[in-house]
Amino acid sequence: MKPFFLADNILTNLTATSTAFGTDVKNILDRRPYTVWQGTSTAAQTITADCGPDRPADAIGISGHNLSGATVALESSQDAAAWTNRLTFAAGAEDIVKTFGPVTARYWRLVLTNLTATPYLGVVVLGTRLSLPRFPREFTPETITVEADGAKTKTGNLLGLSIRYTARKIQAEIPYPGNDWTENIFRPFFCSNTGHPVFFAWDADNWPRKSGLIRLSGKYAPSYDALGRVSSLSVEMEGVV
Amino acid sequence: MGAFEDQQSALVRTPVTLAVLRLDYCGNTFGVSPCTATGEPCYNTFPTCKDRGNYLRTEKAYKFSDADAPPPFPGVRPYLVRHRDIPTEIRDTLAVRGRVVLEMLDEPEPTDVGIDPYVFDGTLNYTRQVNRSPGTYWKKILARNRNYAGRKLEIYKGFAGIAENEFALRWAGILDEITTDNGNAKIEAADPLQALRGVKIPEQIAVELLNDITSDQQSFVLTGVDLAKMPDSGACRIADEFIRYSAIDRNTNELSGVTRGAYGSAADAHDAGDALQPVVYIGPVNPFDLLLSLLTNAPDLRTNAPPGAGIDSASIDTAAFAFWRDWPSTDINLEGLLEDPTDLERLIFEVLETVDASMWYSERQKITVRRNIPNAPGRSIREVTDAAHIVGGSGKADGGEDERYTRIAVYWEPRRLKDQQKRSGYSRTEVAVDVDAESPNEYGAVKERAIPARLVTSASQQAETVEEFVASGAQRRLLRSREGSPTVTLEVEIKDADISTGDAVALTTDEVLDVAGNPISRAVGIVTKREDRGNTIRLNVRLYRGPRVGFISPDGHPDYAMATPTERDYGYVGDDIGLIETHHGYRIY
Repeated sequence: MKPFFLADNILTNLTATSTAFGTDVKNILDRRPYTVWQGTSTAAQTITADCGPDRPADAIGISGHNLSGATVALESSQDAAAWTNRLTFAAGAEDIVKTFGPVTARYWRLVLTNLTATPYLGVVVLGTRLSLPRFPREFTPETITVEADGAKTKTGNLLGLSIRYTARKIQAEIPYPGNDWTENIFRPFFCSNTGHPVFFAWDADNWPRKSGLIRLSGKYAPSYDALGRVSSLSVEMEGVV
Repeated sequence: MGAFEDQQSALVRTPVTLAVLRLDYCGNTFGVSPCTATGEPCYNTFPTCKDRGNYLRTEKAYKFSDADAPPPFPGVRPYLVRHRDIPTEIRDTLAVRGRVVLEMLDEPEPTDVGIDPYVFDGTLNYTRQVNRSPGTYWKKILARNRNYAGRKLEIYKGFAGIAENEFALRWAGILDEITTDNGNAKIEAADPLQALRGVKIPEQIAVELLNDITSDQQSFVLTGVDLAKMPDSGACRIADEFIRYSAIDRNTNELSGVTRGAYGSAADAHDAGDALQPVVYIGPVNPFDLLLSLLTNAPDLRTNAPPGAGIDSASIDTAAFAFWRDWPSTDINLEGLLEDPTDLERLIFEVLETVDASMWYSERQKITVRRNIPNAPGRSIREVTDAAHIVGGSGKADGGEDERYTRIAVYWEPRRLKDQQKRSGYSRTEVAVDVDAESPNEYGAVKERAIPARLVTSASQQAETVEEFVASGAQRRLLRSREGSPTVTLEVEIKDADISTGDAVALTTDEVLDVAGNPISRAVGIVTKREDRGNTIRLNVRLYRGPRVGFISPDGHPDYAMATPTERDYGYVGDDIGLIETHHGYRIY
């Protein structure tokens, strides 16, 4: 599977089986992991979206959650009566990025079961992934930097270390991505999502822990060769562990 | 230990600051009984309320955490980019008030989640959902909460991974101002002692005589916009005459039961339009009880004697006021006439000076008080050493010259209608002089501290008792301040963050040397200032070099050389000239 982005969200007109005070379910749409929807119990919880017209999807991303150990099921329906399961998985503690076969449907729902704590979700994106046209030539899927302050006593004894956060940086250089993909697909994607968190998965199946919510940084500056072809495209992303 | 303490003492952890803004919030739902409002919903705040008669004031917490740390739990916005303390600083009497300035990120807030209660309510507010403006979070908060001033701000400290209820409240104050600037918001708040600022007792009011009056006229009519503020009975001043009255007719505004030329003043004729100002007579009252009244009484002249700052008693360490009131025995009572509107802060400062006590707002969220004595048996003393606590490169010390005096002059028995900040405003003065300190062999100069005590008078108590109180107080003050008290500034790490302003610490550091040139060892000082600097805590520790108070110790204390700082808080007998190991020894209080 090639690395991909997931940004465009088809979810809208949401309802939830229960909602804790001040944590509206539409919080999961604002791409802020710190504004959350929260249920009111550990009983099974369902978040349902009525997308209006049929909408396609083949990937889902979840961030800012406490679903570790819970079972998550994604289902779709044309009539909100008969539901078809598209994906079921056991959640870990990290951000979640999963793919499934392309489906078009009006109704989608997320069913949370086996909950051990009152669940909360910060960001959920369901939509169609944007895959890179080929695997990057130079690829650093994860550079982790611990931002911390430490101190020693006057006699040199080590005092505590205060870690502020752990930063994550991803760099990829894509060789010959194709002029059409670069100009007509990636460029609009880059411009419309600059500054907004999006999901990125390097290898969602084999390296799920290296998938998650990131922000595109750096510049859009493709290089061209003498024949006018895009010879390379560098992409930089940043996030937190 | 709890999760907080575990994290605080851990070698590696992620500290998180949590700021909680508590703004007013209506407890009703728009359009639902008892709310009768219709149309476009409000934002459940008083400025946006459409049915103010049924407005139900409750509180809503807005929570923010460090922008450079993971949000500690759901529902917290990671906007806090800078937390600046202007910390409380204990001075000899009234402390410098603490202030907090928070700088917050601002960002476009298109969803209004959390700041518009009806944002997603399709039955009430679908129109607003569609037409929402693209303003920023803080600008929307400000637009909907214009009445934020005076509401609460709380600062908690905690660590990533602990529960919200494990976070420790470190500061609580009153919101002053919220401004937005260049994509950020700045929030300023002050501690509850801020309530003293600008308060005058008695309050300056606009009342005047309606007609001319003669020097013996026994009733007269008043006019003015502040008539309603006149107490039902009491005393007032017109020019240089004091007048007592027993009643005011609220319909005719006529004073009756009048005693002209009160408090030793001369009765005089006055003209229509001459200003009349209520005066406040204080006491006789215990100084610590008076301090409590001045802090907690409402400023309303009509209902309180004396009026005060109206601070919630929950913000006051009343146990400390009660303890020090009776330690070692009660003081004389204070009494006096406040002839003009007097700054409440100034008055409290004078009362504290009179009994040689300090008052400050502590990190334990209470206004507290303590007599300025150098040692107190039973207190907790924390060890702070170069080896285990003081961050490298953080230490410095000053000599404490600003707090050194060679003589203390107490002015008492105030004269009427004189400037009571000056010696000429009093008929009695007590001066305690340290001749040795003023001699060429010591400092070779006179350094006097003048203490005007406008509420110290023998009007209703024995003159000898008052004289003894003033004389012994001046002597104690002189003993305490004849030596400079160096202040050591140092930083400790988060593991020692529970050291608070006013705590006693035993310092072992080479920032100050003893006469033999060795680093001081377990020298006891008081933390006069504590500043949170993120990963470290900056402390000012004032050491004390003068004589200590001799307390009778329990049986079994070791010799002085072997005694702990806690044991040395009791008394030891010095040599022929009162010294112990070249230091001042102990004196009887």
